[in-house]
Amino acid sequence: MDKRILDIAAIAAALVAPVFFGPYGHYIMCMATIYAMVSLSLNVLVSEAGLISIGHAGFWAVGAYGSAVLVERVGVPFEVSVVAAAGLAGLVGVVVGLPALRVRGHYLAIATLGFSLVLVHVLYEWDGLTGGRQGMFVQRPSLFGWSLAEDRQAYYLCLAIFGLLVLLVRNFRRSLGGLSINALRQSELAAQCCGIDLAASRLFAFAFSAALTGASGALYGAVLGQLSTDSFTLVVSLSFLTMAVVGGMSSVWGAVLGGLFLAGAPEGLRAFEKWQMLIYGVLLIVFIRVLPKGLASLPERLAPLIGGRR
Amino acid sequence: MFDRRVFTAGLLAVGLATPTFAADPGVSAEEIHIGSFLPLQGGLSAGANQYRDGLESYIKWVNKNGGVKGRMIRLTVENDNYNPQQAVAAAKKLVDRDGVFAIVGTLGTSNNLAAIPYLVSRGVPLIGPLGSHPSINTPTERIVFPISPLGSSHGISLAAFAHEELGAKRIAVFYQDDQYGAELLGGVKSYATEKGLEIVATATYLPSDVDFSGQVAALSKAQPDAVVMAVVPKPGALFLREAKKVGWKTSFLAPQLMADKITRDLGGDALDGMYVNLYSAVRTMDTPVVKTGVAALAEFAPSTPPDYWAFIGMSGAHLFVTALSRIEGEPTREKLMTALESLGTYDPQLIPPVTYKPGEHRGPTVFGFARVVGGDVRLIKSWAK
Repeated sequence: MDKRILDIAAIAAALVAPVFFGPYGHYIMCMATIYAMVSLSLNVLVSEAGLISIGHAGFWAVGAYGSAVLVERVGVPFEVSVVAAAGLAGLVGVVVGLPALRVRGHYLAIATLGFSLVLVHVLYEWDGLTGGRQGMFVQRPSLFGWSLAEDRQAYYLCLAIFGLLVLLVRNFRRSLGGLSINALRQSELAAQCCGIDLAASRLFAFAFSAALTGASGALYGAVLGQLSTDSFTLVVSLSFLTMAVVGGMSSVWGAVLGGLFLAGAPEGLRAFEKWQMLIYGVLLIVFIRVLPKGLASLPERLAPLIGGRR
Repeated sequence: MFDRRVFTAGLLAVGLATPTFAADPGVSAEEIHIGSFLPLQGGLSAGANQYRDGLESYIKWVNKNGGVKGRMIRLTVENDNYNPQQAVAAAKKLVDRDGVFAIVGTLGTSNNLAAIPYLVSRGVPLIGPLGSHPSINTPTERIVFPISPLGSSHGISLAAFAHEELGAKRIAVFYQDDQYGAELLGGVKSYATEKGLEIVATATYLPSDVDFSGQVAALSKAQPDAVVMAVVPKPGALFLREAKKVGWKTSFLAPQLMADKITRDLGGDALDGMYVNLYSAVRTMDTPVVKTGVAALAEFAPSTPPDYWAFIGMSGAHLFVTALSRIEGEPTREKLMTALESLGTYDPQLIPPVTYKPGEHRGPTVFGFARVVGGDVRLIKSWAK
């Protein structure tokens, strides 16, 4: 019951928040929501399936360029392009998931890294489709032909899509497929003995995670307004993992807090000028040391302290 | 007594008249607030910090001398970490929260490109973006006032110098595998085709590369009379060090970026003899604006050398101040852009002439030339006729 009230309060806060901020704040909120979608996708892959990826910037790029190309070159409506971009990223996820059938841990991390580097290079060289080295300008997001020119409007679209993705992930966790993936993470042998198909489950986990990231990428390109491969580097993939760890891997709250951290921390630290990145780095170390389960675990960590004082 | 029609007409008159007196954002009776976003941290930070010092010093010098028509200029600089998303965030903070009048002096291709659609949507002038992209160097958006040449212009100028001044007939090109390198290579190719020169070899690199022995071996084997380089400081310096190590002697030519103090320190004596085209002033140029720039740096940023980055950082500020001083009455963004477009082909002296006319905003197309000798930059010829 308490948890439901908390969720309702969070939704209400997210809906009302734009009233308290200006256009600059709306943009940061858009980006935080977009990043939260990536964090949610990493939760599925890392926390549920026990797999790792340092190539999620690649899926993000597939979503961003996929949607932009469909809108700009084919004339597909934006809302359709988001779904198509998610599907395209999901298909690519299946291909990338293939190594996951054979390798684990560091080796899988390197395989996903390799995928991301190759993919971004292909986008970089494919001048005719993606603008290549010059990049491409992207239209603002739109809904049923109505352009969301202001970030405040785009924020509500991002929020709606994030809500939809949260529902999908929650349902997935409760579904047979989700439970199977979870069982595989805990014991491959025991799960397989129960008849769970390891290959199909792992490929689905990769595809699902990639599709969520692809939807986020589609929104990123449209809100930013311009795409170049500089937005999809290894550093971006690593910052996604950092975000997921800082927020917390096993809950929607973790995804939200991770997204807020990645979008908000550099802005909040602007006043520190040349110390900005140093403080950012120190904050990361402190979070990992003090809150290894992420910011989402803060109430759990504080509870004994509060209880102890009573 | 109360005439509703008179009252309505009065209200309407006040409503219509109010905008006439309302100033654009960033303009008050005492000051004009402008902003900039730069990659002050990350790979471009060494140059970006000197770029900022040049920009700030020039503004401080203007303020010390009374400002522009009695108004001081206030500059807010934000760090964008050379990240497109953060560049847009910085632009939105400056425009929507801080309420700046214009964005003056920015650095980097991806981050400028990302911010342009937003600045266009708000009608905020972007004066002095340094980058390598047609949307920056020969923009179609009216708000953009470039200060840097197209990459192809670099290629043409360097190939022409190699051919006409050094007598080179066989040219090799060493270039970075990106937009900057591809544009410069395109310029060399177009000049070579026009003059019947032979491009005997090309080699590429990625900015993260540190070993250039393969490229040096491949290019030297072709025995070119001259090597045109589309490089950035660290890889360029390492390439020349490798060439020196293997005793390869030919004429090396590069954009001025390669003769900056930071690069000269990196490359040491391996840079000796290299020719550069000039699209930013060198301190020995005897022009009033360059003298002002040297004095401003000495006073407000004494640790920053009066060199490529600082001068090119100043150029956006100089263009802004020049246009601002031409505005009659209250400054508005529209009047600022009209004043800039009234400059026509204008020599800011800190950079070669730019062309700002209605329907045509273009960065420099002519260059000076210099040579690195004994760790110093010796002027061969200025761009001024």
